[in-house]
Amino acid sequence: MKREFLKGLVKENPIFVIMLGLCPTLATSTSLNNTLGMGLAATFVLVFSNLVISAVRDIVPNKVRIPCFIVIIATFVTIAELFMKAYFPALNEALGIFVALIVVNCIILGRAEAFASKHGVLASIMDGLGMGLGFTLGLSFIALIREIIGNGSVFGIRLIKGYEPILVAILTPGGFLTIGYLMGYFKWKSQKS
Amino acid sequence: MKLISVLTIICVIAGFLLGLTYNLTADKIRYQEEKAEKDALRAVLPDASDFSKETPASYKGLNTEGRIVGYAYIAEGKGYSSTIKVVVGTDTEGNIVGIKILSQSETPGLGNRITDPNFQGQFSRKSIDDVDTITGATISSRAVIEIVRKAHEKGIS
Repeated sequence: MKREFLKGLVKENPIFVIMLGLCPTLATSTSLNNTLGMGLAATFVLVFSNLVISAVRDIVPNKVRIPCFIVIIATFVTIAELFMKAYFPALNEALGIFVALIVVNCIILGRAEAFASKHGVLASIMDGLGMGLGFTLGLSFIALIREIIGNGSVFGIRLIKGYEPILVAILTPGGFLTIGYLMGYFKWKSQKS
Repeated sequence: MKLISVLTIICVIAGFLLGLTYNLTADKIRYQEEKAEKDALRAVLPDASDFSKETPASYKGLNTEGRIVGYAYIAEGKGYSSTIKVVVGTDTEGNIVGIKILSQSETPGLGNRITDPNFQGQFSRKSIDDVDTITGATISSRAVIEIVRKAHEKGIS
């Protein structure tokens, strides 16, 4: 059970190892404030959709499983979005369409197909928590680098006065470069051990 | 047959949950939207203590004595990568006293610098034609200038 939770953090990190959900990763990893919100929303959806999909895995016929999964996932994303609009409007404004796009975040459908539809409810919850936390940690790690280099700040707080930010870090090319280098580093580390 | 019934039942339950959540959050969401609008109105007309809605996109700003201190107009237009919503405040003679960007999703670090007080502050000091665009964010800046111009012209007419 503990293993199901821990694997999503490093060994099977959804961003750096399984390489899923890279589009929202690129887009939202420009500031730490955004990544915490995005990570939490995605984790909420991941845990609850894993829970429900695992619970109904014996009832859902194989031929309609994808539409069923999507409906379940989309429902939780919409619930998360409505809650954000009501209680965290600034975060909702900052994340924009990427909240709704959590529906097509491959991590969620990926874990539903690969794990939740084939394992028990408790294991699926742990898997969802681990993957969600791994996603959040990966996002935040990338954002830490990109925000410091590209905006000279951490969580929006300016670090060094007079630092001229290297803007490309918070634009798309910077995203690709940062994620690429980090992936290379993790791959190298895992090959060494 | 089982295919249809399972998918239908899941959709029905989903619909119910969504309706429930919508009802639970509807009031708070409306409150947040009105609050954002009120904050923007107060930002462009700081002397006004009360606002009366004339049309869905224009307000009269009143002071504590009920006298008109200015007007506020909400306008929007196409930016570089998003629709930019702006609130424009004018005094009783139609001069722009301030603008505030209500919502935008322009390029971070470049286009979204239209929200900087330095850029927005220009509109109260200079005429619209003299407003400087932001380096590296020409399209976003020009979009805001045109939106403000449109709102201003519509307002004083």
